[in-house]
Amino acid sequence: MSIDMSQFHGAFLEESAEHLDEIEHLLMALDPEKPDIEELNCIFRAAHSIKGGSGIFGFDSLISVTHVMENIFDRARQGTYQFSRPIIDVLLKAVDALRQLLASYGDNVDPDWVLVNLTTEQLEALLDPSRVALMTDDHGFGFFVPLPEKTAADDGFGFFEPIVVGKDDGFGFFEPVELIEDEGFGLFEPISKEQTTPSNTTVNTDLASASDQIVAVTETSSDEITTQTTAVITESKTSEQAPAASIKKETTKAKAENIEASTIRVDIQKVDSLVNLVGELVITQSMLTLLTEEMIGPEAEKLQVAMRELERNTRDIQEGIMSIRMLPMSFVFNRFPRVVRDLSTKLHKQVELKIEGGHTEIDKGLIEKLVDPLTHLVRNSLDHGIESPEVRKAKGKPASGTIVLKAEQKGGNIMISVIDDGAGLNRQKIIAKARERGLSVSDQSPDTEIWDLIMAPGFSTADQVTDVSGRGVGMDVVKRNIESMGGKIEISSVAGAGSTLQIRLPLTLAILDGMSVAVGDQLYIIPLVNIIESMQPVPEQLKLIANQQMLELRNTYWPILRLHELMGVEPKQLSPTHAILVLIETSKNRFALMVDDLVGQQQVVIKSLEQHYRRVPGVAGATIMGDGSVALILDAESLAVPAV
Amino acid sequence: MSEQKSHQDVENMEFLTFTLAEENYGLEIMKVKEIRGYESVTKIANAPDYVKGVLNLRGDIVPILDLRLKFNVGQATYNEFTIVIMLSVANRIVGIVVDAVSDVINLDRSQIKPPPEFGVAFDHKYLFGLATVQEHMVILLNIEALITSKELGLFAAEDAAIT
Repeated sequence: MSIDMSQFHGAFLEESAEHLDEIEHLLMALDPEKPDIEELNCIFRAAHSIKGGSGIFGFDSLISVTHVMENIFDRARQGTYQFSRPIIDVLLKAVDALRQLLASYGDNVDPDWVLVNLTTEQLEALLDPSRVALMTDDHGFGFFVPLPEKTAADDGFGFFEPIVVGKDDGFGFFEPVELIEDEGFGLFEPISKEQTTPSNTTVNTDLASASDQIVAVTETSSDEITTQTTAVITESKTSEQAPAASIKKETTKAKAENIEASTIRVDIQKVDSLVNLVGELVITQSMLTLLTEEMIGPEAEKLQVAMRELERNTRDIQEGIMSIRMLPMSFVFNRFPRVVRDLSTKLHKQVELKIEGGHTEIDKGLIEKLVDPLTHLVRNSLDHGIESPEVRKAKGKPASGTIVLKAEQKGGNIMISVIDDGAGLNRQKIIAKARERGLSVSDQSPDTEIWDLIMAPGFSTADQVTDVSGRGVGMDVVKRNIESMGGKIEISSVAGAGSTLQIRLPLTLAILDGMSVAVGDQLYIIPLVNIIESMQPVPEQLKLIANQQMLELRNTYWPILRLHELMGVEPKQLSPTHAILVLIETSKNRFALMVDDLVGQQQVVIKSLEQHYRRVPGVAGATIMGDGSVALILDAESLAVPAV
Repeated sequence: MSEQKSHQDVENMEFLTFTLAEENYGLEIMKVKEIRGYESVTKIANAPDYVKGVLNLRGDIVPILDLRLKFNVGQATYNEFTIVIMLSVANRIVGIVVDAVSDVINLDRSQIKPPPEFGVAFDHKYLFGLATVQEHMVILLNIEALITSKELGLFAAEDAAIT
């Protein structure tokens, strides 16, 4: 009988990644002088869970690293280990290594054994006090070969808890407090004292590995518990009754825990299909409402009342389903303490990171796309914004700079700010740089316009290239990323006092605020973020420049694009003075789009055209209108670019 | 997957027959998602004329093709009798406009004759062959090959390569 374990790989990898996040988070918060015993327990349990699961799946590289890690924390929680900042650094590096290993198992490639051995050696070195002392002075730690007797002591066991196992009665699974006194693991009544003492290593280690495996299996999937348990029993080498009995007991306990669990893991595709279906429901509902509104008579009135009830319910369902996709911003923010810590050490700066509004919820799709731009902004603030402690002191500021990451919800938008109390943007330098690049800038331009220059494509701050920022990805990429999410980025800065970069994003990717416009018999949606204003021009405002019709508005010339020409439809209005001009601004250009009529502002659900067809130039997607017909959503960015 | 394999191996194939102008065509019934009346579509900019546009099929935005325009068969007229066959091909949904849907026929392999090299509106690589049913000739389309073909350019190049 063999069970295909690979079906659990995904769940294990995902869960281990979460454990690693937790370990990292706790390590960052750990006070080296007075570590909190509960936190140490948490780290220990997380490392132990990863190890247990790796044992089942045969992910040996993970076992060897987590094993040593576990030993360190086991000692620490017993108060026999002293942490220090360099030690935590090594542990954080080990977490990084584990992430890499998880990724390689996820991609089905062989783990990097050089990395595994190096990490294991570095961690093992931490267990040797004399070498830790050495390390504190020497930053090239961990790169030397460990002492031979050290490896001998550990490698003999490899898989299982080493002899120290006797001390670790709980195997990390149970609450340690009661277990330390109770050698019988609190659960294994049938086993006699002798069997559980460290002298009987076979039983002990087998129990250890068996319970490890059960822990991981129950975490993976409760449905499979029964079958998995049998598998584990047959696999385990002990034929004695006692372990089998105890395994059953543990299973029941684990089951009870699973019932209590307050969250479930759901495939994101299931949620997405629900989001789609609810979108349909809302459309059908509004179609019905339209129909019933046309009816007359007493019956119709009753129907209309019921329809209103239905409308409320569907809206509640829609909100509910949308909220499933929402995740707190802390998912993104929580990685930054580490980023800031690493960077400030590297740059010899003192920085304190403050996180506000981490509970603000945002669409999962946006969360993933936010990571890169935010990392870039934080790195920028740290590298260019915050000054070195000496400079700060000379300026009369506290030696330690502050970076604030803030998220808040405002109406249908979410605002994310990166605020630093550094030097602020240098107006003169930016103007000089812009002129150097051949951009026309006036000295009188308002600050906001100057700040926007740093987000212009190709505005590279080449003289500032460091290891940290100023290479490759520029602010223009950040801007483009944010705009691709339907967001906007704004900069404000005061010289000497710091800068604030504010990102404004819609709450969800699936819904867009749009203006519907009519051309001929077709309807199009223009994203509201791109629209500056709409107007009907008077003949005096129309100018012919280089044979192209332009709109003159407040001393600016706007090229006029005719939507009916771009979309190949028959318009109702041919002259701009009878039509409507929608002034549009994109990251690349500004233009006036000529349409027959404005229909109204509305929120639309974005549907993909590519799913069943292909990408269409100038079109970002499609949506379904209240009457069930399809309207195309225009992509202002690519509209003005001639089709290739 | 298993479905596809089985009806390649099995001797019998079921076809849905339809007419374009005077000609009878057939396509594998397993590719048909549903049949519905023609309704107005939303136009797509810069698309070839045989791509009529897109419509909403229960939340999916589905392109509608008129093969009469692509292959110059008969008149492309649209009235209450015009039919759209929704196909499920290569994980996509595509609708094709036809004049009428006739029947479902069951054909033995031996009844399918190889297509001529020329003389039909469709290139022979998009055909399974020809069959005679009740004294009518039916042109059996390999609709999947046709819909995913570069000639129709329905999908982006990289997608077409995968399918």
